[in-house]
Amino acid sequence: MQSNQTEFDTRNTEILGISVDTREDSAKIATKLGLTYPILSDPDFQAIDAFGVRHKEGMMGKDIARPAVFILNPEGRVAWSNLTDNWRVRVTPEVLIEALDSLN
Amino acid sequence: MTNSAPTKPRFEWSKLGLPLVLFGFLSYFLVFAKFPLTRDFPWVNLPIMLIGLWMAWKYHWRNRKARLTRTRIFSSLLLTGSVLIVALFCFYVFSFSYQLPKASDGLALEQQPKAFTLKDHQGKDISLTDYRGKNLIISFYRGYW
Repeated sequence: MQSNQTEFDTRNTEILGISVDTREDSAKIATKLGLTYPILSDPDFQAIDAFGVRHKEGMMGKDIARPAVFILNPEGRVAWSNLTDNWRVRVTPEVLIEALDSLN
Repeated sequence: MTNSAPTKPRFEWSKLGLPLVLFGFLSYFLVFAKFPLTRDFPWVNLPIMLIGLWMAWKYHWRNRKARLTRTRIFSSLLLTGSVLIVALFCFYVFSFSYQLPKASDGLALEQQPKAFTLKDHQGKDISLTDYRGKNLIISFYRGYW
C-alpha cells in the first residue's frame, strides 16, 4: 500500500492501519515496512468493535481483529468494504484504487 | 552383519522426500506468503510438497522389503512425516485460514462507525473526525506479527 502513496494522495485519500498490537509493536512494524501512515493500537477494541470486526479467540485464545478493509467517504460513512473470507487472502492496493475511482 | 563384498549403494534421491516436503512447508511462511500471488494459493509450495511426498512414497515402496528392519522403519517414518506435514499444510491453507467470524457482523454500507480516539504508533491521538472531507481507508489486521 505504501508504494501506491501518490495514487492515494491524488484521490484525496488517507490510510489508517488498526490492530490490537501495542504501540511499541506497531512502531516496529511501521519501521520495518517503512510505513508513513498511522498505525493505531486498539487493545480495548474501541475501533474494532465500532466496525464489528472482532474475531473472538482468533489468535491462540485471544481476541483480535479479523482482516478487513473499509473505505469511509468524506462524510465518514462506509462507502466500500472488504471482509475477506480467508485471512491469508487480502485486498491488494490495485483493488482499493479501483474502488476509490468507482466511488467518485 | 555378515554381508560379503559390501558395495557402496548408490545414493537414493528419494530419501530426500521429507526434507523437500519440509522445505516446501517452511518456505511458504518465510518467503512465498509475502507475495499475494503465491500467498493466496500456494502455487509454488503445494507442488514442491507433493513432489516431496511422492519421493517419500517411492523411497518407502522401494524399501518396504529391505533386509534391514532399520531401513524399513526409517522409510516408513519418512513417509509418515511427509504425509503429516502435507496434511497440516492443507489444513492450514484450505480450512484453518477460513475460520473467521461472519462478514455480515461488519459495519454495513452507508453506516457511520461509533466515534473513537486511539493512539498511533508515534503516540499521537487519532480520531475518525480528523479525516472528514477526505476518503479514508481503514485496514484492520490480525497483529501479533
